[in-house]
Amino acid sequence: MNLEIKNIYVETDSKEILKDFSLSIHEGEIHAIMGPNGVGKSTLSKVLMGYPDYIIKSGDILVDNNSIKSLEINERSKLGIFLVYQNPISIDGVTTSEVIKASLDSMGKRKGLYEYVLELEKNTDTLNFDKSMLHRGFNVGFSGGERKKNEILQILMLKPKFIILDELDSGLDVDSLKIVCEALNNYLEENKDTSVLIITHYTRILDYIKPGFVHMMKDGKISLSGDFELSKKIEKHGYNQSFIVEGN
Amino acid sequence: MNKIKVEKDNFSLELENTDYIIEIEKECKIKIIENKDITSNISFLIKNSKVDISLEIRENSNIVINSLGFDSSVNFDIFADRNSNLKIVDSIITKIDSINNITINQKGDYSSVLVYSNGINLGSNKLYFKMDGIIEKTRFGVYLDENSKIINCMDGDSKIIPNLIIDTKEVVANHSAYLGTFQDSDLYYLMSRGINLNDAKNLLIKSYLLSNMTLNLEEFIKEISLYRNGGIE
Repeated sequence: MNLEIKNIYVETDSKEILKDFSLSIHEGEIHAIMGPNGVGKSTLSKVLMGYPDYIIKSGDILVDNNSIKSLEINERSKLGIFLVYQNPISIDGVTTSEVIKASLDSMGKRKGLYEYVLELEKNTDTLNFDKSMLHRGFNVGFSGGERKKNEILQILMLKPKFIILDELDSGLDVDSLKIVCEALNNYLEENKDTSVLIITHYTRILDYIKPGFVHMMKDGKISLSGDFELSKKIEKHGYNQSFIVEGN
Repeated sequence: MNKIKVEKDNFSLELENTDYIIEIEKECKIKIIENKDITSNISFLIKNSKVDISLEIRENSNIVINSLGFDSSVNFDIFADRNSNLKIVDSIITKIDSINNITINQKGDYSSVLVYSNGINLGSNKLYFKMDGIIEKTRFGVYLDENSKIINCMDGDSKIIPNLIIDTKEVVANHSAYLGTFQDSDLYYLMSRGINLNDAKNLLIKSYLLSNMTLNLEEFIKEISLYRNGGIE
C-alpha cells in the first residue's frame, strides 16, 4: 500500500494539532516518527484511522492515489490500515475470538470454523499467548503486555497492508517486546508489500523493527528526516539538540 | 441443569442444590423458596412479560441469579437470611416502557448481596431501575453493593433510582450508577477492526447485557442475537 499525506492541517476541540503535515510512505517501507510528548504523534495515528473527532481542515490523505478523507474508520480498516493502539480497550462479555471473527466477517475474509480455530491457535502459539485468553472477555484482566500481544494477534489474523504502531513498546517488558517484534518481523518478511509507521518516544523498539526512514516531529509537522542513524542521534542528543546538530 | 418453562400465572419453586434456567413469556408471579445451605445458579430468560419474582434466601445459602429480559418489566423482592450470599445480575434490553424494581431486605447478620443491573434502552420509551436496599436496626456485618448502568441508544427516558435504607452502623453499603451512551472509544476501536457501526453496537450491547454474569449461557447469547436481528424466537 502507498500512503501519501499531503499538507494536512488537523484540528480537534478547536485546537490545531497538525500543521502543514506531509509524508509519503511507499509499499514495503518502514518509517518511524519520533518526538516528545504533545507534538501530535498520536493525533496522526487517529487521523490516518479516520477518527471523527479530528477534523482535516485542508490537505488530503491518499491511498494508492485515492483520497480516503471521506472514508469511515471501518472502511479504512477494510482497505488494510491497522492501528496498534497504545492503550487497547477491554470489553467484558465479548471474547477475543469473537472480536477477531467479527472483524474477519466484516472484511469479507470469512473462514470455515475449523480453519479459523487452527489459524488462531497457531498464531497464539507464535506469540506465546495463553489460549484460554481467546475465550475470556476481550482484554479483560489482561496485563499491558498481553493487550499488546492481542493487538499483534489481530494483525496475524486480519493481514493488513499498512500497520501503524502507536507506542508499541509501552507496557511491554523486554521478553514480550522481543516476542512481539519477532512475530511482526516474520509477518513483514512474509508480506513484503506491507508498510509500517512506527510512532515512538524511544529508540528501543527501532532496534527490533529497523526503519529505513526516521522523522522527527515538532510543532505539528516533520522538522527533520533521515535514515536509521537519525534515531541514534536523537537517542544521544535528545530532540532539541539532535535537531540543532543535524541542522548544522 | 433444570430447564423450566413457566406457563402458570403463579409458579412456586423449592430450590435444591442444582442450577436452573427459567423461561418466561407471560405475565406471572414466581415464588422461590429454599430451606438452607443451598448453592444454586438461577437463570431467568424473560420475553415480553411483566414478572414479579420473590425469593427467600435462608441461612448459609449461596445463590446466583442471572436474569435477561427482552421488552419486559421485572420486579425482584428478596429476603436474605443470616450468613447468606446473593449475587444478582438483572439485564434488560427494551424498546417499550420497562419499569424494574429490585427490593432487597437483608434480615440476617453477615448476609452479603451484590447487585448489577444493566439496561439498554433502544427507543424513546422509559427504562427505570428502582433499587431499595433495606438493612434493619440490630443487623451486624452486612454487606450490600448495588451497581446500575443504562445505555441510552436514542432519546429514551431512563432513570436509576437507588435507595439505601439503613438503620445500623455495622454495615458496608455502596451504590454506583452510570447513565449514558456507548463510549466512542469502544465503538471506534471495533470499527478500526473493520466492523461496521451497527455490528460494533451489537457487540457492545451483548457485552453490557452479559457483563458480570457468572454463566455465559448459550441461550442468552442466541436470544440477544435473535432480538437484534429483528425479533425474538
